[in-house]
Amino acid sequence: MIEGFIDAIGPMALLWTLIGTAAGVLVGAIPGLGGGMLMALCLPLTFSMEPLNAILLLIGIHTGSVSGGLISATLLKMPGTPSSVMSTFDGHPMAERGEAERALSLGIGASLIGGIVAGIALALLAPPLSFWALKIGPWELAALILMALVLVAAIAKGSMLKGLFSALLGVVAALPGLAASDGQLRYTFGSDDMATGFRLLPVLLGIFVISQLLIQADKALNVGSVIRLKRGTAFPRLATWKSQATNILRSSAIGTFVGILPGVGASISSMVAYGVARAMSRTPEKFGTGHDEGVVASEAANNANVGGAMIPLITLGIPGAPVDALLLGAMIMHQIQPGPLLFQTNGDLVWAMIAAYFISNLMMFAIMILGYRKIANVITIPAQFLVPVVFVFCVIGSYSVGNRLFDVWVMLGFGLLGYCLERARVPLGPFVIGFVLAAPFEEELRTALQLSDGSLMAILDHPVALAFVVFAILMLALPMLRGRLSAQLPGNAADKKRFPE
Amino acid sequence: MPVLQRIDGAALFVFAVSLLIAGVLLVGARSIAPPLFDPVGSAALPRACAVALIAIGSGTLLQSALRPGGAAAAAPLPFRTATLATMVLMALYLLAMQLGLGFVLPTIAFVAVSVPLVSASARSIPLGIGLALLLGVGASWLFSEVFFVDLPAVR
Repeated sequence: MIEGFIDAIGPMALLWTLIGTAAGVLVGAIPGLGGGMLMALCLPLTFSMEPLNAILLLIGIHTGSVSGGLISATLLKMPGTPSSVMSTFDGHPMAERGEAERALSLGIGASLIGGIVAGIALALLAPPLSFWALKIGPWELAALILMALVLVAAIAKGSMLKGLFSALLGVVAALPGLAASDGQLRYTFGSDDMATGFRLLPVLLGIFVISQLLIQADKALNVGSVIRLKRGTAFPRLATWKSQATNILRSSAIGTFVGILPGVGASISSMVAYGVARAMSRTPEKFGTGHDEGVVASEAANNANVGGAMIPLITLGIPGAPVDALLLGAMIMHQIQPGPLLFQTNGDLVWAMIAAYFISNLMMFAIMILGYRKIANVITIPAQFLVPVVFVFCVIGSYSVGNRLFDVWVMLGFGLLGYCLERARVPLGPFVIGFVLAAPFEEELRTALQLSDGSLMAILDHPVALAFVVFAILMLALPMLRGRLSAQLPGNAADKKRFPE
Repeated sequence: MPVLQRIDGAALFVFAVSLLIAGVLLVGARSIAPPLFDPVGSAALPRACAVALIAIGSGTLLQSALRPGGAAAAAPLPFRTATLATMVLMALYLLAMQLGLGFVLPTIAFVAVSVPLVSASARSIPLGIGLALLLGVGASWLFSEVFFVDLPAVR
């Protein structure tokens, strides 16, 4: 543990964490880019790096980008990242009435506390969860992955059926190539290139980056106007922080908990925390009009989600959020297998990751407090420059995986697929989770069935696995119940008007 | 409103893709050898996915038909011609590299054309050419000389 912390505060480790955090904040602040895109683009550059430095760079990007979204959400009314959507509801009205600095400072402070709370949870929960995960067998793991897939699909934005469709497409995309369980080739259509299946990086670049570039090409002429900041500082006084303490801690706890749920991203965390803050507030009517509590709840929760999501990633090898699939991919590319054994095989690395998460939150705070004025000047990059530049980098990234153009075509193909899915309002997050988890799910399920002579009823002898499956079924049933309930509740129409989807 | 007219384009897209992929999965599963030492084999998951896709595709179509407000309630987002042109340009860029033109020339051509295309303005042509030269030559040098990443070579 101590060695891990020492590794994380070495000069090179600190430098890469700083680079990642700064780049993450900047990219997170630019609408149309985002942490996932930057992480995917940086993956090929990390091939020649020390594994620890590579992972720290990506953790820095992840932390920074979630926080950076606050700047454009407040000044442009365009969330730099999806997780900052809720911050636009109160951050932008505050900026419009001349309180932009206050909104940003509140959000940045709340982000720091959210990150620290989640970091403490990560340090406290990861070791025992990892120890517990060592004791569970293939039935439990298969059921847990199934639950993660259903969960991410069920609470994805829009229709649950479309979420499930997206997750299934991800699973299907992972089928071609060599089946890990018995070494049989599937769906290669006679192509040697397909023997390895679709590689992770081209698929992630296609889904995360190319699809977004095509959407940016749609919006080329639509650049918003930035609200200008005043001179001087407006960092809230201690009394303000004291009045927000309960809200910050509650939202941080919600963000951490939602992050722990496999496959659920930071945007859901901030929505839940915002909703709870409004429900618990003495002045709920002020939410959506430029209220401190709204900015604080949203920002504390989305940053806490990053730390919470690292818990299932490290201990179970299951991404806590779609963007964590990139972190998972990076670890696998650097021969580090996340999962229950990681604490035993690479304990120092895990503690270095946890330490780096704390450090990147502190760096994020310093960078954003000192630099938000500068960042505000560069958050509107016209799409005509963004699209070709990022595409060229994607081509280099995909090609570098195996020095073959096949992977670049795969990237373009998945980009087109992602674009079409977005047009049809199908969420992309479940696709990525499905793609990453398909192979371990099939492997664990086949091992479990082998142990039980092919009987699915053997799950009844595994109460933990059964509980996961029951939870998954409940998650599928919940939207139907919610639909009936919300139809009966008064006041929903007014809320929908103030907080559009 | 007749049921068929109530179905939105997005639901039709999901249904069509579901059927298409399910068909490919089911046909492809036939050529996968039966299991040797485990009870399910490598064709089981694809078959299960196919069945689930058909169910979800049909469910989406049904949901769309029964939705109050019909097709307008969940119509797919609008589509811009510049996006289609960008897609074609991207494919041509990759094709040029596939044909053995290397990295630098196709990159310069791609960036120089796509900047004015995406902005839909001739005024950005000089900027596009400058950026194209910078990216084509600069990125090639940076990745091959600094990061030691191989790039598509001229054949």
